[in-house]
Amino acid sequence: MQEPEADIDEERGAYTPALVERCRRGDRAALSHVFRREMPYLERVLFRVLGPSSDLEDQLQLTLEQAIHAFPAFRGEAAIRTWLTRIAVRSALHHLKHPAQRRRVSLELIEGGRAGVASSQPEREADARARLRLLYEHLDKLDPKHRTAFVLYQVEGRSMEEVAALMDAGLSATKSRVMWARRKLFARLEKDPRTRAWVGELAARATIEGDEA
Amino acid sequence: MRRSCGQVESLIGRPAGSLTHADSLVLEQHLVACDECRRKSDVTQSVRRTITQASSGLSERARERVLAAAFAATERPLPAQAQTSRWTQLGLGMVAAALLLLGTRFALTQRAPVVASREVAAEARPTPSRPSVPEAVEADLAWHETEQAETRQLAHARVELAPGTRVRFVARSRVLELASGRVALDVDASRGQSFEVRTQSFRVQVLGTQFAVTPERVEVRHGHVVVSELSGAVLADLTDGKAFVYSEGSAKSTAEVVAPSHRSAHAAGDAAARASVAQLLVQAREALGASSVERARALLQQVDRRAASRTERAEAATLVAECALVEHDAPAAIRTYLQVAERYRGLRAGENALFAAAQLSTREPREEQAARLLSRYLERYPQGRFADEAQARLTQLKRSGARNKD
Repeated sequence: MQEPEADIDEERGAYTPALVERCRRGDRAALSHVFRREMPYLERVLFRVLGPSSDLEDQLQLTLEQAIHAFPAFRGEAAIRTWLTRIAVRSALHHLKHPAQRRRVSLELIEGGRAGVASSQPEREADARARLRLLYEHLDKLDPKHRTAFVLYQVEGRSMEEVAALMDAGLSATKSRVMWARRKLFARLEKDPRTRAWVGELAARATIEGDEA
Repeated sequence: MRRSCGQVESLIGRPAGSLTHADSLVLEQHLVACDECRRKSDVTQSVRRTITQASSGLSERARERVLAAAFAATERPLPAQAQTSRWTQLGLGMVAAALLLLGTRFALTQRAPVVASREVAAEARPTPSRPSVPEAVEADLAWHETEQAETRQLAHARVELAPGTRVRFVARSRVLELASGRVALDVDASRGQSFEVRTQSFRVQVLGTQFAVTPERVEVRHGHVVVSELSGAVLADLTDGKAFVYSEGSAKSTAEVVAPSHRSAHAAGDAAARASVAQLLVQAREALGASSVERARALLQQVDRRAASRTERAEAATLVAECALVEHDAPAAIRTYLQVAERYRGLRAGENALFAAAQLSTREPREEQAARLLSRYLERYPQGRFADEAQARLTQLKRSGARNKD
């Protein structure tokens, strides 16, 4: 199998047309090369949309499988990363819409070795992990489309147009999804005694800072 | 002029650098004067920080495993073949027996299409005889685009390719990939082998039938096909004269020309029964989430009385273990997880359960059992999803064991 050489077009900052063509033809070496480069990025997007779930590997695999099948039809109108992200988002969305397909091992049982919070202090790490779990507990209760739009816009910092394109939705529908997700999430965080303190603490800090200003 | 809360709502809590200078000024001006929006901004930023500071923690080894699995999955034969339901097996057996009884000549001229899906019961329906086809070519077809109409024999299917059609065929898995254009197929049921057509959006599984596929549409002339998403979720179950249309984000079956037969109605009843098992499992999970163990158990007992699939039974058993977990009865949870691990060792649920049992056992005083279970996990699933974690835990346990001895 031929190994890809200069895979990036320096001028355009994109993969070379030759490499893309080899991917279209199903060349395993070329596909592996692109996937290895893009996997950490796709993994990050999936992780943020799905949360600390044991389904991450499955969804990543599914994204790559779908990309392998769909590559012959890739027209090159968007960057490969954007195209792969779109597949990943659709895959995650489908997964969130069908809870029966989600894995059954409880987070408590697997989190130790998997989803982690980058920190050198164990107590803070445990605290952040608990907060993350709580947060996704509430995000799980939102409509999957609302949740996905919220994460892509508010957490990933993408533009509303990008989120709309990634989710195959209209701009106004996307705006409305982000807005509803934000309102519902805040309402839930304030209602839940476990997160109320967290929200209250932030509110108090905001007031003090406002007074000082 | 200060903007209203509604006007700045979409700007609140955005990451630094994602707002234009003008938007940043508008937002700042608003936040100075609006406590409520400042609070929302802080909460949103905190939510973002909480998520962005966490990492998925997939190791390089795990990524390589995912990559290898993705390639393997696109090359291996249909899962439906390996996991044919007992009804399908029974149906296949009956069809085979009927063919034997009727004699070779009759078998060659009469086709008995069979559903190639674990979701639907087998069904035999005579269809018109067809012209003889050339000897099957068991070879791959690299990506190929037609300039004019072509007819090819791919494995046991006669394939008519419309002009401007782009396809590839993998003989080993008998998968025809359609990138664009239109293909019309006539699959020979007498070979008893599956055939699959994949588009960018869905796949069509079949044992023997005549049907046509474009990237957005499937039409069945004779026989029975199952259309699924690439992830495996069934989208449509089509019989004679039915069509399926796929559109971005929504898919629907259309144009039912022939009324469903008695057997089709029976199959629909089975599907309804399965749907209710799935619903029961969802309800049981929700009950567990609300710590309502008794309700969860009652729902799981109902699952036990229904005709659930093996995967559903494995899931129900896992939920039974989780009931014990919610009740803080670790020994009972471990026992049940281990039963799931042994009974369903070939399923994902089996792997999950074995690892879960090992994880639970790592809490003292069951360290020896934990080490044994982790070793068993690594032996059984050396490339498993939790192999890295299992190895790390095992090493940790061995170290702490050595320290205790010292």
